Amino acid sequence: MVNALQEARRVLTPNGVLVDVRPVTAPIIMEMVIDGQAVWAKTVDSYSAPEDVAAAGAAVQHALSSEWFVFETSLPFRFDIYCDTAAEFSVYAEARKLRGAEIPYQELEERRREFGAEGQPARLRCRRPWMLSTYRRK
Amino acid sequence: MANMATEVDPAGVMPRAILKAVDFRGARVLEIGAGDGRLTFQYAAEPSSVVGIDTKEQEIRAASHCPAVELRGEVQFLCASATALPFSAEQFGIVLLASSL
Repeated sequence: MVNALQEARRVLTPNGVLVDVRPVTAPIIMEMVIDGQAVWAKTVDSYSAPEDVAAAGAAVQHALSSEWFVFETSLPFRFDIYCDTAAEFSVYAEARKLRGAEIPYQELEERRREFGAEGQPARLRCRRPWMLSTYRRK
Repeated sequence: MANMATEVDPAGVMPRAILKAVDFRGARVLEIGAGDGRLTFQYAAEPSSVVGIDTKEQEIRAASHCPAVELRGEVQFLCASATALPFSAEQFGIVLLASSL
C-alpha cells in the first residue's frame, strides 16, 4: 500500500490531488425496501476486512509523515446497494470482502419472502458508510 | 416482479461526493482500481482525460467495451498494478484511489 502511494505521488504533478475513497470500519445497515420505502432494517457489524482498513490507514500515515502529501479534506458519505435476493447480496459481499459470518442471510431471505407473500415485492438494500479524503502532493 | 439484479449506488452518491470535493474540470485523471468503469463513466465528462487501471483483466476488458461512445478518446483503460504504474513522472493532476488502498 505504501508502494501504491509512492507511485501515485510520482505520477502526480506538483500540487496535484490524491483522492482516496474507501469504506470505513463501521456497521452496515440492511433494509427491506418496498416502493422505495424501508419497511424493515437491521444493523449488521460486517464491515470490510479490518486488517485491510488498518493497513490502509497506516500507509496513509506513512505518506503524510514522509511529507509526500498534505491532508486537505474528508467527506463521509453513504451509498446503497440493491439486490433482489440474499443470495445475490452474498455475491456482492464476498467480492467486497464483507465478513460473511455476521450477515444474517437466512433471516434476510425469510423477511424478503414474507413481504413478497403479502403481494409486496421487496428488495434488499445495503447502506454502507464510506469516507472520501483528499491530499495535496508536496 | 422482473429481476433487476444488483444495483450499486444507483443514485450516484459516490461520483457526486467526488465531484463535490475536487474540481475535475480540465484535469488529467488517473483512476486506480477502475474495475469495469462503473464509477469512471459517471465523472468522465468533467476532466480532459481519464486513464482507468486495474489488475483485473476481465473487468478492464469490460470497461474498454463500454458503449459510452461520446467519451472515446478521453477515457482509456489499462490492465496495470498500482505499485508499478506504467507512466512517466508528473503526468496527472488528479489520482483517484477507488477503494484500492
